[in-house]
Amino acid sequence: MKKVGFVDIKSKSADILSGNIYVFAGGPGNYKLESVTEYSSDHPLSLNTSDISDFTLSLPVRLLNFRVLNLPFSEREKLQKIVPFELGGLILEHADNVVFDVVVLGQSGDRFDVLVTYTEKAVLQKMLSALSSANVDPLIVTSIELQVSVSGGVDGLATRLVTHEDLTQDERIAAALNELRDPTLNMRTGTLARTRETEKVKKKLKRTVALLIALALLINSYLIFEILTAKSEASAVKKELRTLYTAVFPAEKRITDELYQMKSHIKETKEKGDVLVGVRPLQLLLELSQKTPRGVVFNEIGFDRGLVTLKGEATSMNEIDGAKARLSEFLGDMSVSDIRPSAGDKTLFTMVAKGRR
Amino acid sequence: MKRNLSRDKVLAFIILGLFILIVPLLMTARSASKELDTLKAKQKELASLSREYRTLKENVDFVEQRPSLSQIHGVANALDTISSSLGIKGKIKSVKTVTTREVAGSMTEESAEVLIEKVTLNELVNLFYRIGDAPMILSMKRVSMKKSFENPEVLDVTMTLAIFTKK
Repeated sequence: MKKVGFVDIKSKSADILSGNIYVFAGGPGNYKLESVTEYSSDHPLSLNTSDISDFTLSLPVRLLNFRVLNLPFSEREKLQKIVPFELGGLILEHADNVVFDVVVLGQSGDRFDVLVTYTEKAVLQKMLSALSSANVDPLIVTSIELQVSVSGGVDGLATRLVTHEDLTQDERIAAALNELRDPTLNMRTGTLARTRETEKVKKKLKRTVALLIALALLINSYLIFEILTAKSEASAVKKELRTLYTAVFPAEKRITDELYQMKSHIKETKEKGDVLVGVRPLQLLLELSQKTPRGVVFNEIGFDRGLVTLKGEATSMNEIDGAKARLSEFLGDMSVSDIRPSAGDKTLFTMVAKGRR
Repeated sequence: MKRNLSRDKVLAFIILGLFILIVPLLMTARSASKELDTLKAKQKELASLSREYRTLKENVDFVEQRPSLSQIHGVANALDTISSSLGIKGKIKSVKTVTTREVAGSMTEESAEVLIEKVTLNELVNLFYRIGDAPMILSMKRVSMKKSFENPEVLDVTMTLAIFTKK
C-alpha cells in the first residue's frame, strides 16, 4: 500500500520549523490517516521515512505573501508568464527572487481576480534544506491555511488571510487530505522544482545513450573487422591462385583470370592430345574379354573419337541387360539400341558408349 | 538550455549516424564474404584443374617426345616396319592415304585408311601393341573390327592410321 507524508508546518518563522507530519496510506482519493508525528527542525525526526513514497509540504500563511491581481484571463500558463511582470511593480523584492503560484478567485465581468501567493526563494530554499536533512523532500509546497481561507470565497479573504483563525487538528488533517487530492497551489516550481525524478530519467537516458553508442560502435567494429579479415583473406587467396597458376605456367606473363586461362590451356592440350594420341583399343579389348558375360558375343567393335560401338548377339534380353550393367563399370553413358531377333533364336543389339569412365 | 538542446541534437545525430553506418558496412561485409567464398571455390577448382592439366600434359609430352624416324615416310612405310615381324604383311589389303595436314604448329599429320583382312585376335592385339609402342608418333584415329564373313574365327579390320612427323 502506498504511503504519503504531509508536513504541516505551524511555526511562525522560517528559522525553526515545527509542526506535524501526517502519514496517510492508500491510493489517490482514498487516503486514510495512519499516524501523526511531531516535527521540529531542532530535533531529529522519529519517523521512518524510507517507506513513504512522497511528501507534501504545507506552509503557514504567515510565511507567505499575497497580492490580488485583476487580469483579463485565467489560463494558468498565461498567468505564470504574466504574473512576474505584474508582480515586479507591486513587491519590494525583485520578481526573480521570489517563487509564486496563482489561484483564480473569481470572475467579475470579463476580468478575473487572481490571488498571487509568493515567498522569497531563499526562505523556501532554507525550509526545504531543513526538511532535506530529515530525509524529507516534498514534491508539492502548498498551504492548508490558504485552502481554508480561499474556500470562504472572495469576500473577506484579505481579512481571513491576515487574521487567520487557528484550525483544530481534525480540520488540518481534513484540509491535508483535500490538498493531497487537489493541491491549492504548488510553489515548488522553477529553480526550486524537485529534480529527483528528472535527474533519474536523465541518468537513465544517459545510460541508454551510452549503451546505444557502445552497441552501434560494437556492431560497426565487428563489421569493419569482418570486412578487413575477408579482404585480407581474399588477398591471400588471390596470391595463392597466382602462385598455383605460375607454378604450372611459369613463362606466362599476361594473367588476368587464372581459372579461365587454365581451362583454356586444358582445352587446347586435350585437343592436341586427341590429335596425337588417338584411340587406344588394347585396354578396352582386355576389359571386354574380362567383363563380357557368357551368352553375349560381339560381332563388330568400333572405336571413333571417344565413341565405342559394340554390335553383338545374345541369347536373351536379360543377358543384354547384364552385359550393359557390367560394361557400364568402365564405359560411360552406355545405351542399347537396335535390338532385333536374328536367325537361331538369338537377339541382335547395338551398344554405344561415350568412351571410358 | 539552448546549448543542452544542441548537444542533445549532436548526440542524436551521432547515434543515428552510427546506426545508419551499419547498413553500408553490412552490405560491404556481405559482399567481401561472398567474394572470399568465390575465390576459395576458384582456388579449389584451379588446384583440381592444374592436376588434370599436368596429367594431360605428361601424356601429350610422352607422345610428342617420341623420335621421328627420318627413314620412315608415310603410313604405309610405318605399317610395313611394324608388321614385318608379325607375319601379317600379306593380310594388309590396302593402305589409302586420306589426307596430309599441319597440326599443333610444328607437325605434319598424314592419315591413311588401312584395310586388314582375316587376322586373328592375337595378331590384332600384337598389331595394336606395336602401334602404341612404335618408335614414331603413330596414332589410330578410328578402328572398326568385325568377324570375317567367310570365317567367323578371324577378323576384318578397317582403321584410320595417322603418322606425325616434325617439320
